[in-house]
Amino acid sequence: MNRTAASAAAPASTPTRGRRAGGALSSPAVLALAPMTLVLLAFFIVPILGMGMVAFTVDAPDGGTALGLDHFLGLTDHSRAIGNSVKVSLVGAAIGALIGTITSFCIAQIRSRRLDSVVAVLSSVLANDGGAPLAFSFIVTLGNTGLLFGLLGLDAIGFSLYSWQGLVVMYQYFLIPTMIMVTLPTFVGLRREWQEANTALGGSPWTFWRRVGLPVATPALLGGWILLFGSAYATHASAAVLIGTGVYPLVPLSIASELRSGASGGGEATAMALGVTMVVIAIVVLFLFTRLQRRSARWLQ
Amino acid sequence: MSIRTSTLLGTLTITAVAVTACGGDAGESDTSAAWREATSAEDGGGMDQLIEDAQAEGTFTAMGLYDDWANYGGLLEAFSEKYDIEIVNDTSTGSSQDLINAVVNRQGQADSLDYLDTGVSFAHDADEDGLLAEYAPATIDDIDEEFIGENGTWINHLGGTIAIGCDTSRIEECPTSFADLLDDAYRGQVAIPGDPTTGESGFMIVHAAALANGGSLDDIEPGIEFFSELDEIGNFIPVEAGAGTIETGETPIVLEWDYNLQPIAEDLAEDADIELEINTPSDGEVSSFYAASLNDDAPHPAVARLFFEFLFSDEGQNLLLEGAVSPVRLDAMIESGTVDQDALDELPNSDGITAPMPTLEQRQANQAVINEQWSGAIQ
Repeated sequence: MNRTAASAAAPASTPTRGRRAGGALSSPAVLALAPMTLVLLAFFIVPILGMGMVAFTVDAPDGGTALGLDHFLGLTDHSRAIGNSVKVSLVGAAIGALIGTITSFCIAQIRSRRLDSVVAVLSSVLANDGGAPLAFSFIVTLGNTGLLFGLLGLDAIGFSLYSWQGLVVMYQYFLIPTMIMVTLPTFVGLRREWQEANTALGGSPWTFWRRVGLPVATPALLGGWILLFGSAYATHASAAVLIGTGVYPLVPLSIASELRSGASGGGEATAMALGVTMVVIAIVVLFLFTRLQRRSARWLQ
Repeated sequence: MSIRTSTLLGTLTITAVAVTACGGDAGESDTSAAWREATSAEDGGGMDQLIEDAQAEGTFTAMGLYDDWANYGGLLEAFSEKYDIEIVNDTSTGSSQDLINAVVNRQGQADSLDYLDTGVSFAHDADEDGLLAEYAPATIDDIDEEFIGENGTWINHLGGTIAIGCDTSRIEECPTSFADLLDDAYRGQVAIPGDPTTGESGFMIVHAAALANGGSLDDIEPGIEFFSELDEIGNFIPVEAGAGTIETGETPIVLEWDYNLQPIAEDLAEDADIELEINTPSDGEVSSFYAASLNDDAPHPAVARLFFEFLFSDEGQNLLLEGAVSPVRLDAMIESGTVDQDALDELPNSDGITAPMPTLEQRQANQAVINEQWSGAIQ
């Protein structure tokens, strides 16, 4: 009999730590965290609160200011930007998630620890790559006079880098690695014993994926996809270089434009209101992501 | 928040602290304080006094004065050598709004800016907000009133004309007017350097297009319509054009300031033996001048004023001329024979100063129109 057949790990419960009463403030850990807390306050919390205040403050009829949603109602001018951003992010994230999932699944099947760690490092580097150099490298390769553009005959199928499709393609450069980074641990963590158990009980590989593999991996896949959406939604620098002449408004570009245009009044408040919509999306994305990650993690302990 | 997120945030914020210099004003000397109030060199005790006090301050801080832009590289070097003053020029960013933001956000800090080079409307707004210092250089009498801000806080120091740059290695027949740009031969080849709603160059290009299409400096809409048409027929390419995109051949036809095209043309001729032809559009000539101003809160008030004197001296104006821009005292210098003739002969458009220039009111009205219509005009 196979003696190494370990039992499948039961989901480990993470006990929530109760607060120890008293003395917490003097503990070295809290002291060590103080600088970081200050920094968080100064560079993160305060600016976000400031942004919210500007976004929700409107001129009252009596000459003072009041809280109101006027700046948000004014966002209808930017509905195209919001729509474009949502479209590009949805499509980009879907493609990135699909390719990333298949890639990390294949890498996990090879079952080489070294490969796993190399891929993990590489994908986390690429996932954080971007900015103007990324856009320029795409201009050189896929632009109208680009190296690959001619080779692949992209002109014939009507592809242009300077369109929303072009943005989607460019974003893949960091979206796919992000997806691999997020899903690889899940696929690596699918236990061989589960597959063996499935086979022993007369299940086909198909049954395994339908009944065990996918249900366990789904939260991670969904979480990854949501993360990709947020990542694409917030991309600014590379999009600005690629289509920076204002032809295809996106939310981050509109914020920059509102903050920078010289003679238009109220641009700042509109920019802040747009910023608030982005923060809301980021919070929703992170919330969903961590919830889904946790569901997956239970099985992969 | 997951551990990963908080670690990431922690790393980010620590980096932010590491790169944020916490400047502080350690109280300034009496001489610096005196220059802060001076509205001319005379007023502050004469040129020699100004040089002495500037050398005591020792540093000149600025932002966005790119080396190859209007020959600022040569100008700053000459200034630094002549007066033995250290130059701190942050070229990581340089839009007019970025400069104004720096002045607003760095009040009282040692790394605030001494000198600003912005679009006119930005200088006007900054003046209204009380951010700029009133100061007149010694050569102010040479400068026409229309080039000086109403409160004497900014002066148009250099300008140029919108031109069409064209890579002759890729384009058989170069366009010489806006009407030419609509030719089928230029499919996917016409570009502009930036968003007209945020940048001066794009903004002025639309002005020129308006003039070419039955509009005027009071009516910019035909310019927006022109670009809408250019985009519709597929000639317009929405990338931000620059030296890089011209060099790779991605944007063989670029509308830009003549003085920005000139250095690119020189580099191309030198490195790749490619001729970049520069034509002033025959149907829509627009010139515009940038505005030089001094920060009222300059960390080095004497250095700032000395730089202003240098900028508007014959030497400084000739150095700008070498950067293919028209310096504001050009006519006076031609008259008095102090102009650098070689640099003048190189100027892409020697009548740059005669092309029409929108007034401040026109700019503001047009900015509002373009903000509203631009992104909808081009799909």
